[in-house]
This record gives sequence, C-alpha cells and structure tokens, in this order.
Amino acid sequence: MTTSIRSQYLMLIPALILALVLQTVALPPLLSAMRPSWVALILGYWAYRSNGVGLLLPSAAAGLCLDVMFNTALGTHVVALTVVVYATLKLRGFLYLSPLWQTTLILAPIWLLYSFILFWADGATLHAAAPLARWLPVISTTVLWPLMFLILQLLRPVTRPR
Amino acid sequence: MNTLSGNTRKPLFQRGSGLGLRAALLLLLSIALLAVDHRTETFDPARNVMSQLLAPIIWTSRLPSTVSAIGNYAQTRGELMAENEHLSESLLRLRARTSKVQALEAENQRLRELLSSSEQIEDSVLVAEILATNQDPYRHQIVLNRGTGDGVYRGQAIIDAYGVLGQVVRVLPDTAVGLLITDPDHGVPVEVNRTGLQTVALGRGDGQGLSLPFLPGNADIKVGDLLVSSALGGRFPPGYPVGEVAELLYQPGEHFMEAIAYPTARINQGRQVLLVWSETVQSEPGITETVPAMPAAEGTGVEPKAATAPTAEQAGPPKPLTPATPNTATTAPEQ
Repeated sequence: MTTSIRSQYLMLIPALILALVLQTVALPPLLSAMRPSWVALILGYWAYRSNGVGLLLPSAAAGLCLDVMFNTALGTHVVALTVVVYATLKLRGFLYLSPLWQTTLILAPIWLLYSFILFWADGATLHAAAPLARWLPVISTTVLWPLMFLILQLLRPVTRPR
Repeated sequence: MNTLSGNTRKPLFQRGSGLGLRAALLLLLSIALLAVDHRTETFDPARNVMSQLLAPIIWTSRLPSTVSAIGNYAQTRGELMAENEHLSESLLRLRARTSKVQALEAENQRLRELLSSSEQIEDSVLVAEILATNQDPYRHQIVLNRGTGDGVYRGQAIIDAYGVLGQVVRVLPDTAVGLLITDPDHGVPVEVNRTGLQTVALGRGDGQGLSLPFLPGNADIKVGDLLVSSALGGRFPPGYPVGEVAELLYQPGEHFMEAIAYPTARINQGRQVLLVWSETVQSEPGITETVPAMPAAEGTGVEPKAATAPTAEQAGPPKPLTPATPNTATTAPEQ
C-alpha cells in the first residue's frame, strides 16, 4: 500500500504544478473569468482517489503558491483548499458508491464552498471586488469534473496491489 | 459472532489518523497567517522568496502568449513598411508638438517662478516590460521586469503613453508588481482638468471603470471631462491624464453624486509601460517605505534620472516637499 501511495504522490506533484500553470495561463478576460479552479479540482480528485494520508501538506503548499502568485493574503487559498480536501475525504464513502453524474452533483457544493471561502477572505481583507463573477468558476469546475475524472482514471497506474 | 476474524472488523475505508484534528489545526494556522499577513508585512521576505521560486511557473504560463507573439514575426515586408511609414509620420507630428511643449514648459516655469511656487514638470522615467498580468479577475495587477536593482520603489507611479496605469505595490530584486488603477484596492487623487475640482478615483473592480464617489451634489463635472492626476498625497506625478468621465450617477435630493470614468491608459493592451520618478515622493517624510528604498537605488549606480531620461535636467538633490500650489489650496476643501 505504501508503494501505491508513493506512486500516487509522484503523480500528484506534477499534476499540482500543471494545475498552477493552468490557473495562471494568460487567457482573454471572458475565458479568464470562467476559468475553473484547477488546483481544487486536482486536490479533490486525489482526496477521492487516495486515502488522504498526508494530502493536507501538499494542499497547503499549493495554497501558499496560489497566494503568492495571485498576491492574496497568505493563507487565503490554504483555508479554501484545506476545506476542499477535508470535505472530499469525508464524502469519499458516498462518492465511491455513486455513478459519475451523481459525484459531479455531490461535489458541486464543495466547489461552491471553495469559492465562498475566497469570497469571504476578500471581505475579511477588505478587498472590495465585484462579487458576481466570483461564482462563474463554480459552474466551470462542476462541468469539468467528469471530464477530468475520466482522463485521470485513464492515466492512473493500472497495477493495484491487492 | 465470535466466528468473525479480526480482519473483517477493519473499516472499509481507512482514513488517516486524526484527519479532522489535523485539518482543524491547519485551518486555524492558515486563518492566523491570513490575519497576520493582512495586517503586517512580517511575511513579505518569505513571499518574495516564494515568488522567485515560482518564477518558472509564471514563465511557463506566459508561453502561449509568447508563441502567439512569434506569429508576429511572420509579417510581410509590405506590412512592416506601411507600419514604418505610419510610425515615422507620427514621430514627426509628435516632434513638432514636443518642440512647442518645450517652449510652453519654459514659459510655465517662468510664470511659476513669478508666483514663487516650485513645481517640477519633467519627470524621469524608465521603460519597463510587462512580464505577466494577474489572471485572477478580481485583482488587476501586472508584473514588470524592473526591480530594486533599477531603483524601483514601492508606491512608484506606472504610466503608459496615454495616461496613468497604476502604482508599484511590491518590489523584488528583478521584478515589481504593479496595481492597476482599475483594482478596487486602488485610489488615485485626480483633478478635473476643466475646473480643477479635486477628488479621488477608485477602481471599480470590473477591469474597466473608475468610480469617483462622494462628489458634492452640485459639483461642476460633466460627461467627457478629462481627469488628470493631482499632486495631493505626493504619490503620483501631477498632470498625467487618468480618465474621462463617462457617466454621472445622481439621485435628485441626494447630497452626493458619483461619477463613472474610464481610464485613458490602455489597460491590458500594451507590452511596455513607464515607471516615473517623481521628486515629491522621494523626499516625502510621511511615506516610510519609499525613503529607505531610494538610497539603495542611488547606491547601485543605476541613476534612473541620468541613465534613462534624456529630458531630466534636474539631477540635483531631492527637493523638499513642494508647498501646495494656490490651485490645490483653493480646491482641496471641495472634495
């Protein structure tokens, strides 16, 4: 089991780096507002797939990276990502038993929570941003989940030690 | 029941031990970090180190725009010639205007001397390239390729060819982060060019507009008025265009009205910007962050005034804070 975990995390680090790049890649303003929360998606998938041991540390690191890259107060994205990882880990039982379309619906509130925490942190740090566009990524993240899930399932190492 | 072996009693899904406790601890820690980082600058060195470590990721995320820029190399000779012709034409036109401006500046200087008010008109500037724009739609920021090595200081004004773009909020050794005037955290003191009315233009956060809140209900301001930066606060060099009033929001009977303006600077359109050194900021005692930054800049030998600004003639010691001009003194209470 430990080798499986290690191989999981061997994939997690490049996946997180790719997610950070996708989160910051330059896009036209409209697409940029619709950009899904890539890092939350990746961490959500890993929380669903692995047993969550030691997932909090990479998620905190990714959160700090996001904070530095977006120049938000340090800790903002860490809070949001920690909540995503914890909630997904708690819901794993349901997620395993549900078909893909149901997991998509079950996870939608988690992406909403993620956006809400960022929205709350904006308020807490007195950053009076226009709040309406804050919720667009929730839609795109929800839509992207099944697609990303299928792709990552294909990429997953097939040999599962039993 | 006693036939069940120990193995079957294992939980189906194993969780990490004390996951909830660890998550709660991490949450508390990061909320504390958030509070401290929001209020103090304790973690700024750590942030600077991290942003240098993350530079490859920023660089990678710029690749698509770099690749599309490579497509520009494949321009035809005809296009380039037409562009060249257009540019030399506009250069000629601008040169003619500049020669006129020089005469006007000299005249203005003489008149100001007569009024015994000292104000510098020419600012020294440095061209900086935009390395990246912040992709968070709620934060309008740009990363520039100039840092402390070039004498860039926090609070320095950023302009482009058409007006004020923003100010520097974070300076790293080789790069600087600039906050655009459209960011909701940004405010720039402005003056209505037509009447001299002083007010503050705040970013609206939609990436396009500026808001001028709390104007008196009877303020003399019209759609189409040009807003120029004012010297109030000493952060921005005065006289650069900031925006043009596009809309007035006034409810009859209210005490205040709000004006919506659009920046004259080409936000998110250029690749290059200008960093302006304004003398008043360097010597202002109130802005503590900028004061230690300037000796360091002079110590590096990169003398921004002499090296980059052919127009800068005042290379003398920094002037003391300019006294308020009669104009600002009369109009300031209106805001």
